[in-house]
This record gives sequence, C-alpha cells and structure tokens, in this order.
Amino acid sequence: MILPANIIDGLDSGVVVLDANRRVEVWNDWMAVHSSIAASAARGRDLLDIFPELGRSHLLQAVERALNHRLPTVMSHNLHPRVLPLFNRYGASVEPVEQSVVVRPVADGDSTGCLIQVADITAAVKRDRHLRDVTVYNRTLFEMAVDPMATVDRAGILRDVNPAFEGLAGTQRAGLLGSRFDAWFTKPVEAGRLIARTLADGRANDVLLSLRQADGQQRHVSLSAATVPGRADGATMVFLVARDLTERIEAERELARKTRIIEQSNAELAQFAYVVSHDLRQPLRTVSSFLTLIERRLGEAIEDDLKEFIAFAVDGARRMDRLIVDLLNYSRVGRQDAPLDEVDLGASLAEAMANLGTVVAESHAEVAVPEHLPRIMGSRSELVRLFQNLLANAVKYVETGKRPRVVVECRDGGSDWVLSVRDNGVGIPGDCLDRVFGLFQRLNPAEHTEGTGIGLAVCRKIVDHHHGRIWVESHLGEGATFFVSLPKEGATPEG
Amino acid sequence: MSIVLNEMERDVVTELFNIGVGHAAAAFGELTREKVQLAVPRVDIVNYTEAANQLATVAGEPMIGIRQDFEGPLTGVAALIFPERRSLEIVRAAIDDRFPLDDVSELERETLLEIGNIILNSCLAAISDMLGMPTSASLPHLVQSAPPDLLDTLSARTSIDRIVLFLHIDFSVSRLNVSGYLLFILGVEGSARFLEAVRGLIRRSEQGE
Repeated sequence: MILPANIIDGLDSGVVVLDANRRVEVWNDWMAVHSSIAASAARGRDLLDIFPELGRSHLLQAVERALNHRLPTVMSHNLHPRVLPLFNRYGASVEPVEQSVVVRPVADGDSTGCLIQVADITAAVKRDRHLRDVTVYNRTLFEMAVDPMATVDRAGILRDVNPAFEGLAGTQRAGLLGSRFDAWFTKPVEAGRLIARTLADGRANDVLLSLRQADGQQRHVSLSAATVPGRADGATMVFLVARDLTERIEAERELARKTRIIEQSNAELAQFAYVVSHDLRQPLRTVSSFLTLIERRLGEAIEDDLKEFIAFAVDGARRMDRLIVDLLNYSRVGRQDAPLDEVDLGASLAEAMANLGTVVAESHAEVAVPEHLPRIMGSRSELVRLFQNLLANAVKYVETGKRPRVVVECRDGGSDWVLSVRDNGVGIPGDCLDRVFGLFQRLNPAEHTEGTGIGLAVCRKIVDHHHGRIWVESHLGEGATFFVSLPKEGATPEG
Repeated sequence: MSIVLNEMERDVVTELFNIGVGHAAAAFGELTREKVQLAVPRVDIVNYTEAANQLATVAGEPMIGIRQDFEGPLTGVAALIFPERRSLEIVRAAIDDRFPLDDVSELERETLLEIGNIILNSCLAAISDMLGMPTSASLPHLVQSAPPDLLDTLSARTSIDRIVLFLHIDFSVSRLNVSGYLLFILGVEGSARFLEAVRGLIRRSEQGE
C-alpha cells in the first residue's frame, strides 16, 4: 500500500493544505524545493507568517472564500502571474516559477480546510510569449509590406488583408474581411480558379488579373499564392501576394502607343524624303540640261562673262543635286529593313577605298590600313559609307600642295573595337570638336573645299545605329584623328 | 411542471443576482484595473424545454460555458454562457492584449475560466449569504458546444424535472459590451426550497420595516 503522503510528495506540482485557521498541514516536496522552505519548517505555521508579502493578496482572499464560503477559486496566470514567491534553480541560475493556482475547500473533520494547488506553467508561458513574439514579428512584416497581401479561406472568403491590400482595393479592412475574394476581380471565374488551383497544387505563381476598386477603377496585378499548412484547426488557408503592375502596364501601353506614332511618322518622313529628293532633282536636272543646251546653242559666239555665268548656274545646280543626294542618304541611315549581319570591317574598308579610287589617286594620298580588322554585327553598306566619309574627309582637308597621309588603325577597347582614322590635314579648332558632327556644319568656306556638311552627320548616325560612339581629337594645324568605337557584342575579330 | 414568480419575487431574485454580479464586477475590476460593469436585467424561472428554446434563439453560433456544480441546501449546476468568439474578446480586453494570437491559447482559456469562476462564485455567495443557504461548489471547467446540446452537456447529472433559473447577463469592460446567460439548473425540490427562501427573505424584510 502506497502512503498518500508519498504520492503527494511525488507530485510534480505544489500542494499545500491549510486547516480552518490557515495553518499549514501539508507542504509537499515540490513546495519545499521551489520555496526553499522545508516541510518541517512550514508545518503548523500560518500561511501569512510563511509569506508575509501575501498581505491582502488575492490568494488570501481565495483562501478565505474556501474556508468561509466553501467556494473554489481559479487564479489564472494572465491575471495572477506569480502568486507565490517560488523559484526554479538550475545550477547558479534562479528563475521565478510562472504559476497557475487553484484554491478549493476540503473537508477537515467537522470544519473546512483548504487545498492550494500550484502548477508550474513556466514552459507554457515561455512558449506563449515566444508565439506572441513571432506573431508580432510576422504581423509587423505583414503590415509593413509594400506588396498587397491577403488570406482567403477554403470557401473563398477574405480572412485577412494588410494595409497595402486595402490600398490596392481602395477599401478599408472592414469592407474586405468576410467578402468574396473573387468578387473583387473583373474576371471572378479566373480569380476563383486561382484559389482552387492553389488548394489543389499548394502553389500558384504570377497569375495576371485585374482588380476592380470600390470606385470602379481597375488595378492590374500579378498574384502568387500558396496554401498555409499546419494550422492547428486543420483548415487550409490560401495566402496571396499581389504585385500592382498597373503603372508598369500603363507605361508599357503608352510606350507602345508612342512607338507606333514614331514608327508611323518615321515612315512618313522616309517617304517624304524620298519623294522630295526625287521631285527636287527632276527640275534641277531640267535647269542644268537646258543651261547646257543654251551654252551649246550660243556656241563660239558666247561672251566670256556670259560663259562664266552659265558655269556658275550649272555648278549651283550640280551642288544642289549633291546636297539632295547626301540628304537622301542621311535620311536612309538606320532605316533599312535588312537585319544586321556579320560584317568584315576589313572588306568594308577596302570597298570604301575602291569607291574613293579617283579622289585618292588625284590627291596622291598615302593611306595606311591595318592588315586585319575584326568582324562585327552591323550593316555592310552603312559601314562602307562610314569609312568612305571618314577617308574622304581625311584626304580632302589638307593644305594646298601638301601630300595627304592617312593612317587607319584598330585597337581592342575591352567591350568595344576602337577604330581610328588619323590625317595630317588642317585640323579642327578645339571649340568645334563636337560641332563637326552636326548637320550642315562646315568649318571651311565652300569655295575652299567641296562638301555639303552632311558627311560627318551621316557618320554619327551610322555609329549611333550600331550603338557605338564617334569623336574626334585634333589641334589646329596638326591634323585630326577620328575615333569610332563599335561594340564587340556578337562580333568575332579576324585572325 | 413550472414555478411562477410574482412581480415582487422576481424583483427580489433579480436584485439578489445583481448584488452577486456587482461583487464580481468589483473583484474583476480590481484584477484588471479596467472599469468592469456587470448587470442582470431580468431573471426567469423556466423549465428545461423553455431554457433550451431560449438558448436555441442564439442562431447556431458556437457557445462556450464555464460550469460549476454546487451542492448544499441547493444542488445543481451553475453556468455562465457566452458566444465563443465574444468570450475571447472579453479575455483579451481584460488582459489588454494588443497582439492576440489567431487561436485561443491555453492561458487565455484559463483566464476565461477564472472570469466565469469569479461571477459564478459571487452569485453562489449571494445565495448563501442572503438566503441562508450555504452552498459549496466544485472547481469550474469549460464546456463548448452548439446551443441545443450545451444544455444537455450541462444538465446530464441532474434529474429529469429540471427547473432553470435563466438570467441574461450584460458584461462590459473597456468599451466592450457582451451579452451572455447565467443558468442555475435546479431539481424540483431545490427550486421549491429556493422559492421558499426567497419568500422568507421577503417576509423578513417586510417584518423588518
């Protein structure tokens, strides 16, 4: 037979029994350990004598209620965290015992005694606090998140939303909770399908839907969803994160609209340039042919100054024709429909040289070109024109009587190939280095050299079209070096 | 079988329970440092079926009850019943919890148990003191159920001819207002004894005048 006293001492909770006069009759081992007061020292003493700090405490009131009214009292931890000064001792560390206390009457012969039971719920309290901390942390993340978030139950009802979601829906929390999630979307069936699919698969990613705000405005969102597993009540919830794409989608639409307008106006411009240049050249041709006819009809009888006037007029018509042809070429750069191709820069340079044949020959120019040039992705005809214009300039702008000397080089600039065309010409004043690439910008008077002021503008347009860069370094009277850097991307250097 | 209260008797019983819950409110307010108000606007003595019908009008919402059995000159079951959701609000208002957990924690259940305990004890103490019927009680415990079954859960241990003291109770703590029910389920003899004690109280007070 096990003695009740042994059982009471073996309990993992505190047991105190008081007689009708509040004197300790039972003080089990657990109490002795956690109060550091031995049973022998406690027994027979008034509880208030053992713990004077109890004073007019709720515990004493509960004891009175048990003794006088035979009514039991539950003292919950939330309202009475540490009823008695009890401690857990782990080696050197001392920690108060979080308690849940029950006080109840017990029959003691003819009178009524009182049983105080103390449960150590320190672990539960710690777990609760931890849970609370985690909840606060998660809640804060949820509340602070820039992206709209919501929780929807199995029945498709909104159960939780963060402030960002309130903003997205243009509706306060109270107006959202309890409402149908799918009803907020312009396509409720698809929104409902998103929830169903998430419940079936556990996840859904980047589903595009449009949400209708209370005032009827639409917001375009990308929704990702996942089920929230492991809830204590077993009811699976769907957690949704939305990304508001409204601004982006509207910007994309606006961009597409503008692009369409630009493409249209570019096409019109190209057509315009083509028509204009054709229609302008026709009357010019008439002017110069009839002037030539007039000159021929007048024959030998023509006076010298009249002959000179006709020559000026013909020359003017011819120059205007050049101008029109150059403008036409300028307008065509980058507008060709043919896709970019792999182009051998060496072959392009050779073709440019060949096209310039007589110009180079007549000037007795000395042109040094590198043995190997890389290949890049580009437009062959444009790159030929680029070399042609740069070489023609290099040969053209030289002091009278000086032999033009041109050096073409290419170096590896990391992600680019850097081509250079160096000449020994008249050079460019420092304040004009940028200006030379502008349309109709001429540094030399027309009488001095031939040119329309379009050549370098065409060069810049070609380089822009190839996503490259063009610039010039020069000092007046010391020649000039034009640099062109072209991105290697997709290019394969030869050799 | 039914017991009918006259106007005077009903007033006295209502007053009796208001004194009881008044003590409970004071005790509760002292614990929570919140202003707590409890009132019992009306007491009905009904039979079991009527009590079940009254509870059934609380449409299908899960209810939670705190039950204490009492014995002595009066023997029966006392219960405080709230809609489950609202009961949690009371607890959270009482402990000023600004970041409640999604689910009810054990500690919150324990606090609800204490709240019920305070109210039921105060009522039982009022019966003991005012009617001279020293009644002891068991520890409180929680019962959860939908309304029709709840009464069965509560009264399984009592006899078939049960009489129910049916009280509405209004509870307010820090701007929160909740209505619930206080039930005292008595046997036929017990309820007759209760009524007799109430009449005795009326007689004594009339003689005292």
